[in-house]
Amino acid sequence: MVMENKIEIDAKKLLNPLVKMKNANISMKIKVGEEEEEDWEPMGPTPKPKVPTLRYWDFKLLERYPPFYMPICDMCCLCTFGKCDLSKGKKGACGLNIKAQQARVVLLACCIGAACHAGHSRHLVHHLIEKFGRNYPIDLGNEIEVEMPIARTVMGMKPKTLGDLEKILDYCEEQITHLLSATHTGQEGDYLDFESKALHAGMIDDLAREVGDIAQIVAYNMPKGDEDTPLIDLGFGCIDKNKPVILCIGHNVVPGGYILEYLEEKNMEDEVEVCGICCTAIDITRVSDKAKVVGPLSRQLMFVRSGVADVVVVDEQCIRTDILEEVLKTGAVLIATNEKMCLGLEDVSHMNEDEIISYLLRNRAALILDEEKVGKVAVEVAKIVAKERKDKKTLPNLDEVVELARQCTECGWCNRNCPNAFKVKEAMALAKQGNFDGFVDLYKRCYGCGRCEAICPRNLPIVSMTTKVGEAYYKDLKFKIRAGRGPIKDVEIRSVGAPIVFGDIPGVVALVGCSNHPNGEEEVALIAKEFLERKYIIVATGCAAMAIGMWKDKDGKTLYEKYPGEFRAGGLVNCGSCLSNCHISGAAIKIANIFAKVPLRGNYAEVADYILNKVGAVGVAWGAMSQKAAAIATGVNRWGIPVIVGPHGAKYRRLYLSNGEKFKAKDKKTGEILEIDPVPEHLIVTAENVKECICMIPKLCMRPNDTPKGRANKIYHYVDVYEKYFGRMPPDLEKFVRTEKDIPFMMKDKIMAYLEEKGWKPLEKYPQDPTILY
Amino acid sequence: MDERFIAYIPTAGSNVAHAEITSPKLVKMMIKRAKKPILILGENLEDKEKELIEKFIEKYNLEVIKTPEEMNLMALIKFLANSSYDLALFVGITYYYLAQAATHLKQFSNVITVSIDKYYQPNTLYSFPNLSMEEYLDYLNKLLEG
Ligand code: SF4
Ligand code: SF4
Ligand code: SF4
Repeated sequence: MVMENKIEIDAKKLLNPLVKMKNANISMKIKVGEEEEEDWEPMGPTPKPKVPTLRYWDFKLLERYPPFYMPICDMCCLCTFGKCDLSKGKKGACGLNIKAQQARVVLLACCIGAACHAGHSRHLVHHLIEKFGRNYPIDLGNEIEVEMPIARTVMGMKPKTLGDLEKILDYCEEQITHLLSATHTGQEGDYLDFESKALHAGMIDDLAREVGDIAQIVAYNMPKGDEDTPLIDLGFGCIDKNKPVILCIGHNVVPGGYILEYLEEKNMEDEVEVCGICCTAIDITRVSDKAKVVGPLSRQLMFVRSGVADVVVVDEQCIRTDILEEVLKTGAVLIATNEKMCLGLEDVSHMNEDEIISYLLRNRAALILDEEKVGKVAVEVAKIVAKERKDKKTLPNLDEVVELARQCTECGWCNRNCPNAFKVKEAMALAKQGNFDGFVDLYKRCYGCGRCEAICPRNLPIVSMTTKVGEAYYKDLKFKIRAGRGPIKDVEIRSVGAPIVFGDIPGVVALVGCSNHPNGEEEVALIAKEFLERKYIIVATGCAAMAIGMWKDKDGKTLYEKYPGEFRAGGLVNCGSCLSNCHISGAAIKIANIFAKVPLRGNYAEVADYILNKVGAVGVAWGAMSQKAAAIATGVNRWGIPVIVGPHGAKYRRLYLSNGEKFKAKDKKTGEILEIDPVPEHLIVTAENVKECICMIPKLCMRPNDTPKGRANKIYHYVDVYEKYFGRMPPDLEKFVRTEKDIPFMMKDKIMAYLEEKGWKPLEKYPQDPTILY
Repeated sequence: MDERFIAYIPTAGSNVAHAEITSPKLVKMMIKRAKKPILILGENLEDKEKELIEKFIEKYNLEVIKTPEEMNLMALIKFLANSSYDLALFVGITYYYLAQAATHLKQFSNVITVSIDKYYQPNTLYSFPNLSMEEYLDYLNKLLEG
């Protein structure tokens, strides 16, 4: 007892000063921290918003743009009370109605998307901290001071090191857990609250992507806003089949990074081809301009079937889940590298590299979770396998295509199972006669999903046949894409801020998203071309950035070769991969901050209100497919940026549509609440075809803040594209002409005649400084 | 399974209730009975089909909205759901796109929806079955009879 007491006393004696010191340290830190933070900006009202914190902002958006539901499935089968029939006003056993169920599925999709990006970013940050340490600085160079506009606004912090990024991910993961839990049976019951949560998930997604992209930019020394990044080879035709070929598929740069590092170390960069599909392709070309881009997601099955790759390295997201089977069929080797996609393979991470190499040569596939080993393994295996496979033929030759076609009974189920109802049967019928016109056309449009094959009663390898014909008939599948440049520079924002906010630059068009195109990649390039010629600013990311490169003019030039990479009128900016979408919302936020001096720190709603009313930007996800795309679009919507999706986007089952009648806004200058023109008209809307999409873009770039000159400029393009694609005046033009001053001079007579016919009346007053925060 | 009466793209029809099969004769009757019918006309029609549809419009003096030219389909559906139109006919719209859009009217309105396309549309209330080109032209001609 005595002893114990003594120890206690001693311990207290010992501890007290330490504890005191520790406290002193802590309080000093806090103080220093506070002083530092004071320096950049006072804290706004909503740092680290919780699920309900920004609900008031969401409800403002949802009041103007109510959710429009298309319940393609009118049942719920999530719990064992069900299935429940929710059609025509019926409720499920838990009390849920059909609107809430649709919104719940949307929230679920957004949570999946946000988790996917947060998981990806967590992996990157974790890996990079292991490699470079927590204190590795976030430094984007002198030209980018606002390093992470989303983190500044949402978190209320200015991240300085990789360690700071961990804190952001902690917050993201906490929010995703809360949001996902709300989709459990017997939690949220109101559709608007589900939507508000989906918007929150979208915002978290945006933040998580910013973390991942900034981490990889600083750690891999990727371009930091450089407008003149190198032009990268793109397309099937640019892969040198005479070399060993390593194909990386997915979204995570780490394994590809090690492959490039190993090649550089061994001075073998010119001996082995490293190419990629999907965002990994974009990101490895941000690391090395020697890497090549095969194409977007849509070309995955075709390229694998073509047998060009000797080693296929998969990481995470948007990879065909039957990739193992497809790769093995070609005699190539598959390496899985990420815990999210283990494919039933044996984990050989504990072996040394040479052991893994011999394991792979025997077993043809393995899981390697230690990415550092992937560098040597992939390269050395590719060198050996390339020799073995030199003369291996994986596609049928053209004669065999004819033979196969002759087995077709023309039952037509391929057409019916194709998501786009493409004319496969007709291509078969022609090919029977040795005429490949049908397949040539199919090759351009088909995205290689394989659904036609899955249903064909004759088991015809339709995708392989299409690929072969494509290979034989399109000799010139060589294109260029400008390597992803990452963020927009502060100085660029300074020079375009005013013209965007007043409408002199008619809009910023962001072409983003996946490859679920209704009609082939080329349409994305045509949208870009149309608006580049009209001097809009075009920004692109991901598969859409690749699709833009897959079109050439008559001189054989791609749009990337024709237009500068600057963020300015008539500029074509490739920001990078899906993660890099954060730089698009980031640019809008920076306009509010750098140009208009709106403070960012913990100030979400004011920043979003500024963007909604003043920044004429629109996102176009022409081939939106994934849950990630749903999260991205919803995140962008919460910032007040409208989005157009292609016709397949309707399957997300929810749009945000206004009723097209006049909106209300407050004039900050006078305090009056006024009726205004309905701009931007919708927050997320589908277009049935590319003509409609093109005609919607100028309209969705209009903002209440446009000066008469700016609005006239936007109306000019709206009328001009409508006349070009539909041969008529836009049928709703009267809604967007506030006063006669908004009418472009060159079109005065015809617009006035049109307005008279419609019984148009000018607005008596409209706000000089519009806001919906009242 | 009679393939005439399942969705043309089979995965487009995953709802509890699918459209009832209708005929030109019944469609004509529905139009006559309707107080305020409307035809939503898409762009995906062959020339011959377009010609017959135009005659049909003229014969029944139908109010028509062209999509997407005159209105975005989803905005149009939203408008119809809250309107006094009691019968909406659809033709020439991208198949899977209408399949999605039509579910809004099915769940949230009392508008009677009818697809007079070549392919069975599960998500309107009534639809022609899957038809061959000749059969479809025959159906369209029958719409003009009487
Ligand atoms: S969650 Fe509700 S609606 Fe869904 S199956 Fe269960 S009881 Fe039915
Ligand atoms: S499903 Fe097969 S057999 Fe039938 S038409 Fe298509 S390719 Fe021919
Ligand atoms: S692979 Fe091509 S043709 Fe076949 S179902 Fe998919 S998109 Fe249609």
